[in-house]
Amino acid sequence: MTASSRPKVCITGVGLVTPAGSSKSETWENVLAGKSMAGYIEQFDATGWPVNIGCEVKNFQLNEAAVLEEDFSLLTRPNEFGAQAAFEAMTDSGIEDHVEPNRLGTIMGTGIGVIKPLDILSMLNGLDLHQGLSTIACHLEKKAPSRDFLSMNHPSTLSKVISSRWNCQGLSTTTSTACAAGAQAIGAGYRAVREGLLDATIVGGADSLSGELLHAGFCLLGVLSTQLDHPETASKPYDKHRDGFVASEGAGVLILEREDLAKARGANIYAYLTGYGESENAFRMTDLPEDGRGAINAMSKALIEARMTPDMVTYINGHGTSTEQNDRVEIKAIEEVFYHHGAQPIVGSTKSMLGHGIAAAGAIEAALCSLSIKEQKIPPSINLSEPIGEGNIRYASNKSMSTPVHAVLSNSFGFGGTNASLIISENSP
Amino acid sequence: MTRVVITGIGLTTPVANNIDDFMLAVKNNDCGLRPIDLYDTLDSQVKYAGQCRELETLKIPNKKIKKLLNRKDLLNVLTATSALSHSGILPTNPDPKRGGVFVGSCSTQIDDFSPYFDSALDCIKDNNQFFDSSMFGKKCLDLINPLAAMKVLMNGGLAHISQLFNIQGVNANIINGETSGLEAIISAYQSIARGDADWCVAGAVSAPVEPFQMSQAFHSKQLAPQIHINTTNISKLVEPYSINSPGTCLGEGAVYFVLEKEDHAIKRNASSLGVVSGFGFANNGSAKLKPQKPSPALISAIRSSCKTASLDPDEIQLVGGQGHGGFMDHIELESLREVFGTNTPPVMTTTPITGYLKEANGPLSIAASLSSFNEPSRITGHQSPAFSKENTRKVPDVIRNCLIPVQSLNGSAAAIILSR
Repeated sequence: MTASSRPKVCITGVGLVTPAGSSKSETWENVLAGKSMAGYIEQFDATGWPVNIGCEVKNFQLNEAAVLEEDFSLLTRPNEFGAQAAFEAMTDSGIEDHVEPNRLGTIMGTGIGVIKPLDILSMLNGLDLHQGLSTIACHLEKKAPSRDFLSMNHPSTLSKVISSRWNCQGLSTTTSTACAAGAQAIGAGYRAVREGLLDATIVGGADSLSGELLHAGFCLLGVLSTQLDHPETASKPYDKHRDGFVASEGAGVLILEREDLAKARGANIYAYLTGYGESENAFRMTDLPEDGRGAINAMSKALIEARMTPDMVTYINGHGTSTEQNDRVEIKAIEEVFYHHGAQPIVGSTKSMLGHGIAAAGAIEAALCSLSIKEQKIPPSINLSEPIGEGNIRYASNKSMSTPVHAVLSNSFGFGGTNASLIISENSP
Repeated sequence: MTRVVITGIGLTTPVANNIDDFMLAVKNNDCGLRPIDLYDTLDSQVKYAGQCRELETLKIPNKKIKKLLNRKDLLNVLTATSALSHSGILPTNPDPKRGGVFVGSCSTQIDDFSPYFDSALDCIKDNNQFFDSSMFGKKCLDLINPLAAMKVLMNGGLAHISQLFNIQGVNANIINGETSGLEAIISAYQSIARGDADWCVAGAVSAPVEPFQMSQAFHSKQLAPQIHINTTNISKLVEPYSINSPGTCLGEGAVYFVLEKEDHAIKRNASSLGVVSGFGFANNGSAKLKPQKPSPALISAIRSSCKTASLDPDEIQLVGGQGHGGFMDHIELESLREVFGTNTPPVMTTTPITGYLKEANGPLSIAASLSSFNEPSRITGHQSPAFSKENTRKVPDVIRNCLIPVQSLNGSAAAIILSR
């Protein structure tokens, strides 16, 4: 199959569960309104923690039709989010009866799950934990776990739950590259459809901050904002006064489909996925190289694949975590790839409102970018009063903007050094 | 179409830590299953597993990375290092962006959370029924070494390998049970064939020898009873494909390869150990794996791999089998029968000597199959006895095409075909 004969890949379904709402429309409405979703953590008692704020999904209720009954025992909070978003996306797309099961796949990006101390304690009840975890083998054998703890928390379980529900008999797999996982899953799905391995695929990511251990890890790494008095202004991507991210949760799911098949069945096409680039910083676990090489590499590859010049990109939905280093290096890389070549895309970060959803972030943002193309609107980037950069960057304002949006680039950069850039366009070359 | 060759193999297994020693162990039927000493098995019914030995941590020059390595990532890094060294690619690699890393990973081990629990014991109240989150955040967080947070990242192996060898191109960390390893290798193959990379290091790790994963395997009735096992009869613990095989024994290990664009390999005078000629993926969807029944996903993956390799099933001369040792054997054999009928190629596995390496089992079969290209007689000792009684073909003098099929418990399946 030559590059020109490869099928075009379009987006025909969008599903979202975010702190801004448990559906695509609710999330989009609140994002366009520029509402911050940050507040004090309620899922566990975070009183006295170094950081007690986050962006939480509230009033969430799983639609029981989203999961096969036999898989209910495998549901954790992020798995519920992912299954619900997949349900919305599949329903939205209407593809279910129009694709051969062996031509439908599932690729999800997930994280370390929501391992909670109490989950483990329920298995260890009655054991003197002062002996340490290495002495518990005998106890674990005698006490059959009431729930399949390891299966529930395995990163691949969400893909399994979704592929079972929608009878996906094509490639079904999971990527786990921290904050880049969701975007990388979408990139992998794009490749699979583009290269003819699948006709359609359910792609996205899900994560949750509800486990104390994950939140503890972020506290230990010193990556969270400590502007605790005003949670709603703590996430300020690209602002001089940023000091860390606000942890978040949720899921984003897209249905990627061959354009010819989508058109043949009269599907509603949101946008086209036209470019994908991935790279590794090969630097440090949580730091970025100051030259921004990994980000530059990923964005450049995505442009090449989309056969676009930098000036063809209207809007960049940046990784924009609100950490000191990420935002500085990302803006430097954007200047290098775009602004130094005469292009002036609008740059913003929806993490300013939704916080950082880790493995879900890239997928949620890709979903928002699809809506941006469809609705011809650029979401706001709030809490940005003193922008960083050389002064030439056109940042998204704190209000949504109605404007022609031809192509959007979405960045996701993960702990561990994986970078993923997606290009979502109005048309496909 | 770009041809992709394999130019390096690295492996760390319970029985040997390089390919030559490993194949010697296969030939001699040396068993690497031993009493577990990675954790306390007192009063436990699971006392044996395949544990890797003589891990040469001195091979890791970066002290900072060494501090961040948990067991799985130690195996990842040591083994990828061996594969890169075996291939000799690094000194000749001028462009770090043209290299890639693909890891088929097991999940983070619960034991990696130990530092959190060590400091959290005082927060456990009401007879282990309540965890005082607030107290944990207030008083205990300061006691935990921040490095602990980095150790639990799922993609640690990918990050460390990339950093150690300055590999800046395509990458992925795939976690999908048993098929993870084959998927990583197929992804590397696809990246090279597509033109996104000139070479990639790709493989998988399995590190189940810890209490939580072993107890899960115990409860799911996958493990062979070990009550009558001792060091003199341990080689009989796992007998894959045997009607009498009562279950499996888990092992840890990692297997990595360097895959390379053929032109790139020729240019630097590297030897090709084999060609990746076909691949296939599938999933069982809403259908469940059933004992004694073929897996539609595995059948589909095998057929797809033959199709992409432009091979007729009759042209497959050897199957590097999964050889679980338990109920998965029947599913594997029935699936092979469905594809090959009465003309099934010989099936071999190395599980009896290493234990079942789960995510890394497929890559280990690839390593053994590649060796069979040069010396078919090396693998005959591990043919399936069940198959020998039927209409199975004999191992030919020259093996040209090997099939490596893998079925995950979660319903996914993958297959690779290697050619000379």
